[in-house]
Amino acid sequence: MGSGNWSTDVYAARASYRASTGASAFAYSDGGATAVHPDLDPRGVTVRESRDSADHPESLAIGVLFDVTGSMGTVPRTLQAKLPDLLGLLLRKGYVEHPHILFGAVGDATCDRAPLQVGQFEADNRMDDDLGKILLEGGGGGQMRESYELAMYFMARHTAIDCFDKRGKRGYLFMIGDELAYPKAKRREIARFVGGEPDEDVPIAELVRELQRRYDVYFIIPEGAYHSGNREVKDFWQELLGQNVLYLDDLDAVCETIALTIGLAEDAIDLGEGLGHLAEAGSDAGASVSRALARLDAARAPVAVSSTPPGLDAAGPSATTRL
Amino acid sequence: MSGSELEDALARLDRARGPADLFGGDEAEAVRRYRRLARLVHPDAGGGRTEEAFARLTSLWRAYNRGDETLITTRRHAYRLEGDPIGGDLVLLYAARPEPGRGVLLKMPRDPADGDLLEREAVALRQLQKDGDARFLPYVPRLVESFRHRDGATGTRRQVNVVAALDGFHSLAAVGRAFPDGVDPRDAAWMWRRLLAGLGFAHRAGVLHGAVLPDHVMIHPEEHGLVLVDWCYSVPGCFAHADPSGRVPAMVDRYADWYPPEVPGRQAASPATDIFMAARCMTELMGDKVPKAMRSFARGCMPPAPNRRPADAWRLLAEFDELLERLYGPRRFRPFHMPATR
Repeated sequence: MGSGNWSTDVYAARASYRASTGASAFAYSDGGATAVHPDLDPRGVTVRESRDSADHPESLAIGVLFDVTGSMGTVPRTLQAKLPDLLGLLLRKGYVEHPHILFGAVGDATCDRAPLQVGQFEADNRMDDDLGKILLEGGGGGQMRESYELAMYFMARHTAIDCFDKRGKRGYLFMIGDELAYPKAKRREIARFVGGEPDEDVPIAELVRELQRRYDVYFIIPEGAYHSGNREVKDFWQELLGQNVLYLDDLDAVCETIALTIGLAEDAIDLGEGLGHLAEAGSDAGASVSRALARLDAARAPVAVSSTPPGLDAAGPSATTRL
Repeated sequence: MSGSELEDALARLDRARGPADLFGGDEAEAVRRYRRLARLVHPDAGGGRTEEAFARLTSLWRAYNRGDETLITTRRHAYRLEGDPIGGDLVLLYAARPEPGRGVLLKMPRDPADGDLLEREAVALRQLQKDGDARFLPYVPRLVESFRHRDGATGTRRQVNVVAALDGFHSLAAVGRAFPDGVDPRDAAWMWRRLLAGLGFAHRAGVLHGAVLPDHVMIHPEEHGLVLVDWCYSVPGCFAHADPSGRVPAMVDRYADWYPPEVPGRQAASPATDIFMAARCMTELMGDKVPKAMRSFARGCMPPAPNRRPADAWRLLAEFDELLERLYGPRRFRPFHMPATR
């Protein structure tokens, strides 16, 4: 997987075709489907692969998995509409030369019809097709938890990415949602929805550790979503992922946020440059992206090395009191 | 520290004819030697009699490092640090001139652990730039960039903010020292007006300053300009995710009794917090010269309970203008000069 080239023109043409025919981007879901589309069904999948190829000699794997249950409101549809910006930004601005993007969706394994849907890593418009096949649940269990742990289990143990395997370069995994995960990936659910069966349940912290070896893992909480103001949700993810939890107050800025996060991590830009690129591209998402990424930027800002200037090492401690 | 160690250090300083004599050729070793000597002969440690030796050590160290030591290169600029730093409570300020470009100040925290406060300032200045009314941007410093600095020898990391330098500005503290009997209320009036405008601008953009103190209010006498500096203690609304407390994060020790009770009380700050401190700054500046009406106005800005104070700086400015008109009639430009010698 992961050959072909992305064209935003093709995308635009398709979007306008849809608009003229009145078809939704989520044609599969809106067509009344009630089960996972076979192309996105993780059951029995050995691995989803992101492989180097002649077209893409230095592939970089990027996974984007989002919550499709009711609590997320219109987020999944917003995401779909903004996708060309993600790849477009990554490519045009040279943040990443050969991105391979995989889309997936997360529901609730205790009650949903499609708790986990995972497409392929793609480098072109075929990822759009994957997106169109995603089943929007609109349900959710009402217990403020979704099965992110199952998604993490899949990403940790059922993906093969050349960027890491060949070059030791980590891929990126973004999860977007507004709820907690269950504390463990349960072996029964793994058996039922993914296939294979580990000897015992896998605690989520264990999955995070496994994942973080191969992926930079981020969790984006859109502020417009149902539970997003909830302290417990923030604490839960912050404890697992630290500063890689991003709070986004404008859903329209989700792709820009992902693009700039990658740009920062790839050391391709600093936040100021990235925001400049957004403005150039006519995006008005800058303020939201800036707020979401400010802390990340401070930690990621490039390092200038020199000796400490004179005076500073002999200076007394700060004459302030922390409150 | 034993006396002989100090004597030995002083003797070595005395003997040294050049930086290399003292620090040697190896860079890491030189840093260690410098640090050891600085510790020994620092005026605080030497009981006052080592000041001269310390000055000599500092100048030798500066000479030793001429070359790349005062040059800090980031992705965007190369900063050659010029002259001695200006000491702040939290940071040292280094003047520099990037090539090409206008003069800037590098703010480096004394304590590397204060990086979050520098980060906070960068967040606030960016938010002001983005969400604030552009007409009032001259009221706050321009952030050139924010970066991390690592000491090549020791690995110490510091968060650094670079802000545009202010030419011809004096802090309210300096103005106060220049007018020990108090500043004329008609001069203080424009400063107060500008200060309220600066706060009104910041508050509308969702940022509280959190430390409106005489050292942080810079005025330009001839142009009647005002810039509110040092946003390290600010409470930017967009920080609510990371720090939902809405509290001022730290207090400047020297001014501990200048703060309204909600700050040391670790309660959430509000626009009324800044307004309280602004009133305190201005009345202190005028000393005994404050007219009665202005004193009452200030008192009305400073009740201990935040919800009994005015919270809208723009509305307060309108009230203040009415007061000034009653006191002095229609507004007229009044030149203000700092005395040539302080």
